[in-house]
Amino acid sequence: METYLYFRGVANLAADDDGTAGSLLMPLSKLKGMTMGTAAITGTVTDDEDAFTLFFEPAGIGFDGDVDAGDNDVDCVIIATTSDNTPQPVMKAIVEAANSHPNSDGFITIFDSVTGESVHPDIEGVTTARASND
Amino acid sequence: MITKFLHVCTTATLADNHDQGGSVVYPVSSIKSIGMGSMAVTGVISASETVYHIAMAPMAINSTGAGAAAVLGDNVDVINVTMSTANNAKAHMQELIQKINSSRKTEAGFIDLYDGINATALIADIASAAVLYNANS
Repeated sequence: METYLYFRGVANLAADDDGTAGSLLMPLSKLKGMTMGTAAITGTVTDDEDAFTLFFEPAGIGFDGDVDAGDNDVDCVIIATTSDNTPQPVMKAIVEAANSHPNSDGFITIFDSVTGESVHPDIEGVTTARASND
Repeated sequence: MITKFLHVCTTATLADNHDQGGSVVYPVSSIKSIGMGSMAVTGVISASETVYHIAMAPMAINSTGAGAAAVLGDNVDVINVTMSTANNAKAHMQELIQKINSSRKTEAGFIDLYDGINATALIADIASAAVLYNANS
């Protein structure tokens, strides 16, 4: 079974319409790592006391096309937290939720601002940054 | 099957846990090798009696990337672990691999290798750790 992580950070259901904070489902197998701070698709990390970044293999970049400057880019999901400088419990909760199957169907909601679901109460928001191939 | 991840927080200062020098997490599937000595992102290894390296697939570089900054695409992320006991890497390696391959149901996949802020370590002999991280451009 493939596990997928779901993120949504929009203000309301009608705003669920883009790649900035709208519904995003990423395979757990494409999760490359997490780091404290707010990262760009280039991997550049900006100091941030209350946010950390999940890096994924980029969904919008294929193989063997034109060589573009952005081909090394990655997809990013930025998790905003209420607490400063203490991402460890939230990172751990994400890992534990991702491993919650076989008691789940493989669809893991990490954060959904519309329904209020969250794997940890310290998460207060989600934004995404998506790589493209041109 | 549980997907396990390694957590490392190199800083011991709470206020500094705000970037890649703070908490980082890698899937264990990103481990390329573990070896004695301190490794640079270029793969160059410097001899050390007390440091071993865990070479990782870089978290912030597309694994299929061949962009203009392709030279960076050759780099690896590295966790350099400093031991209190010299030449003790084999014992560390064994303990880490046992943890990675443990199937105890009480473990949910988050392996806290080293946390300078909370003064915790998977192996008591770990004195510190350093993470070498790569951006992709």
